[in-house]
Amino acid sequence: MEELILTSIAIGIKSVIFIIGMFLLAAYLTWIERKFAGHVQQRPGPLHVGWHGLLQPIADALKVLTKEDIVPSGVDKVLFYLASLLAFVPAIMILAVVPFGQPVNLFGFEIKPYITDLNVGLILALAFGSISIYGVIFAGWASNSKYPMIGGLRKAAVLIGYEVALGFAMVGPIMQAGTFSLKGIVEAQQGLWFIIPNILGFVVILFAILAETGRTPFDVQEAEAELVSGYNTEYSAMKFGLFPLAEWYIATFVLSAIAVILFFGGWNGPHIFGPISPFVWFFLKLAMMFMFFLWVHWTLPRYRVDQITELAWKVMLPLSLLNILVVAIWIMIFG
Amino acid sequence: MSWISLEKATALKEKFNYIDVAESNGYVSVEVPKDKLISFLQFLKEDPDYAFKMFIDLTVIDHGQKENPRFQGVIILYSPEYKERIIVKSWATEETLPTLTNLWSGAKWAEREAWDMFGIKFEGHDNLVRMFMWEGYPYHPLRKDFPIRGIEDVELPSLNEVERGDQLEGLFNYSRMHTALPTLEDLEKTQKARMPKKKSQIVLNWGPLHPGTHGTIWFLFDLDGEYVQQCDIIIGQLHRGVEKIAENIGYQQFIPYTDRMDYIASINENHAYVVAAEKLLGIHDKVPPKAKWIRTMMAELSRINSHLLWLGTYALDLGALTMFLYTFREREKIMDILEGITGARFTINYFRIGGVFADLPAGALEAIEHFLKDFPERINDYENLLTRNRIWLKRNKDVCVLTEEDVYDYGLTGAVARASGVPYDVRKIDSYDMYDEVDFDIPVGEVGDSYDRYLVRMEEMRQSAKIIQQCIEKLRNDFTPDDPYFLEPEDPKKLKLSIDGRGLKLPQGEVYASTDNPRGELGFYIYNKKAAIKPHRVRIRSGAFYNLQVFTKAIIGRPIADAITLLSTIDPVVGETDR
Repeated sequence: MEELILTSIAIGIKSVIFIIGMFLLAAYLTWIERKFAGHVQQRPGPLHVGWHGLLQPIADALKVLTKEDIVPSGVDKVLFYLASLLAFVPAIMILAVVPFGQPVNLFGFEIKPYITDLNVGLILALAFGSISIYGVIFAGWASNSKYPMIGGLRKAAVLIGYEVALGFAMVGPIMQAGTFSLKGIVEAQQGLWFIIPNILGFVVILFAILAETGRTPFDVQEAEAELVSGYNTEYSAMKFGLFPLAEWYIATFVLSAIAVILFFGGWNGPHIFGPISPFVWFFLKLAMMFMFFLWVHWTLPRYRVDQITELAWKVMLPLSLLNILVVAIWIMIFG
Repeated sequence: MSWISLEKATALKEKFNYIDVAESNGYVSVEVPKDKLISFLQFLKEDPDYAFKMFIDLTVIDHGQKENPRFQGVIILYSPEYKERIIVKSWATEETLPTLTNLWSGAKWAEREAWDMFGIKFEGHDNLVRMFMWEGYPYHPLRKDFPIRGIEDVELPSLNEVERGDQLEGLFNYSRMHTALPTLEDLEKTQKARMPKKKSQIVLNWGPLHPGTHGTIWFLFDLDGEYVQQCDIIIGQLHRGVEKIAENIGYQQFIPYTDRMDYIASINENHAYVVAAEKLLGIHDKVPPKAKWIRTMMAELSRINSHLLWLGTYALDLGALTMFLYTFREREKIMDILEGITGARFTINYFRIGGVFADLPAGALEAIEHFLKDFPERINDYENLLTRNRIWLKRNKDVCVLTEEDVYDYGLTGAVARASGVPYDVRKIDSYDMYDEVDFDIPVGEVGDSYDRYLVRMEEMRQSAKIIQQCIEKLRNDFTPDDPYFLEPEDPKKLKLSIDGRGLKLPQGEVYASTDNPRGELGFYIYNKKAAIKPHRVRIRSGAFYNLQVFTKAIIGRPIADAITLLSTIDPVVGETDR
């Protein structure tokens, strides 16, 4: 009993730290994105608020929080409020199963840099990812307006395709590691990273993450040229702010973390940074993944929605199945 | 000049004894009775010796209340085979004319506009609604009896008076009366009139303010899922009655109004008007060659400027956000050059009837040359990012194909026509200013899809750079700063030509002159009853107006996302469509 209480308190503290950390991180991911986009576009990006615009995210957050929160009269109020929460909460809940490193001994305590290590961690992450999509669809429906509705429906169409491909693409690493636990998968990659036989799966996952997080070239649900702003057209203030925060930053970050864990050996790497070496490696890989998505976002035009679903069903799904076959043969040969 | 010869037009008389052929400084027009108009036009369109297949313009002249019949329809046609134009006129007795829509679909909007502006009914038109004004607007503004300041018949008191009870009577020219304004019911009626029958699930409105339309256009899409079943466009939110203003203002003073039409390529707008006025005066050949070279160079610079904005916003609409800033980097350089030469960055009025208003400043040629030095490289950069990009290809290839037939049928001009394989370029056909002395090619597309329209515009930028290079060499080698840049008339008493244009009279007659705007053929039809300081009627044939019209046809059956692609490749500017 005593142990249960202690564990609960430990998990509680850890959760608070994770959530606050994620908020701060997400805020600074917006700064990174804006700087990145700025330099891609040959302009400096945020520059005036703080040193090189470092206080810009805080200014933005203050702005979004103090804006008037307008709820249009024709909306379905319950779903309208629920939608922004449903988009945000599940995205951050995925963090519960994402490990950021091995347990370390600090001042005599064993500190685990993850909240829990479930043996169905990956499935839980996928499930939370799928729930967060309801936010977008609810937002589209509850706004009682045509642009959000088309945006929400588009997102639904895209996600039905890519959820399937995403699930199948993750089968390869799971087969090799023999576990759904994310920590277990990392530990199985001590030697060779799973990217080697799973290259097809990795490609599918890259596309799927772009589609799930609604980044260009798959940002049809908020194609501003035709749908004004898509599913969040009727939203304002912080309710509006939660959507991009959840989709573009938290979801992208968390899904990048999962991709790194599945294919790039998580925190595995040469111990050249001393005791913090696993964290450094993990965050370096994560940053590379995140930057890759930014790079794609700020370079490419966007697909049409029918082309995206076509791509999902006709290319990505077969590729992910082929990946399973390749991995199966790999396991048969190399064990 | 690309006009039908008097002999050829007179030869028509053998077959149609009821026509009258008239000529005014080279512009041959044929007058046909109203009841014979359609059969005569059909002959012109289908006869292999004439083959006036392409519809250019339709408008109406109001001859004044005292005249009977009062209104005259004017139709301008073009023959692609013989490269010549013709004006066909017909008196609109009883304020009606037969519709041309069975011969050319492009007449649909032009007839709506004529109904809107003059109150001429077109018999047989399938949905004759107003073009610019809202349904329920009681007047026809381009009629001569409509005053230029409008009819103030709506009481619209100031909010200060209504809310706070301020007594404003007698202050600051305060008047409670106002010209008519559309109410919400009026707008609903307008929308209903445009699309009387819904074909499928939802009607999606784009605009009047929408990020995808780049201006105040109001689109109505009847959507079946994502696919468009029916479409119409309500324009007129930016209608300022430029044609009405032209009738009430001196010739030289009208130039600043033209650059507020197509504000992206204001120099080209000035150019068209100036060329038309010069042709009516008969001085276009006498304008100093230096002025002509400068005008050619500036027009092409402005074309590059306009195409860069097009490319940036086009890519932006298709999701490639970065392209926008890349093209604006180059555009900024051109803007700086234009500012240095003309004194303005955006609404430039540099050209005058008779030349330009100031010589090139010292160093202008060097600045342009410096810009041109790395410009081809920049276009290659843009093409590297887009042309072979798989997503770009998927979004543009085989999207909204416009055929050669469509070009003639709808009177499409500019890059839209050229992408459909019609080498229609007024610069080559009319060779105004110095275009017959410079060497350049007309890029022509093969399929007529959005991708071809993209490629044609990209190549046009390269060709424009080539023209500018030639102009620079000419200006540098053949002219000194002492050469005149403005025409000094031989007899200043007869022709009061000056830069401010005071007292400038234009002779009696009519002229249709056009230039190749970045957005299509921009034509000015000027009709003068007698020599006067104000024109009797100025009709602006807007390329963007006619090009936009084909949108309603080409989008049918396409997903809504293609509407963006099509609109961007047609590239209308609302200032010019609405005028």
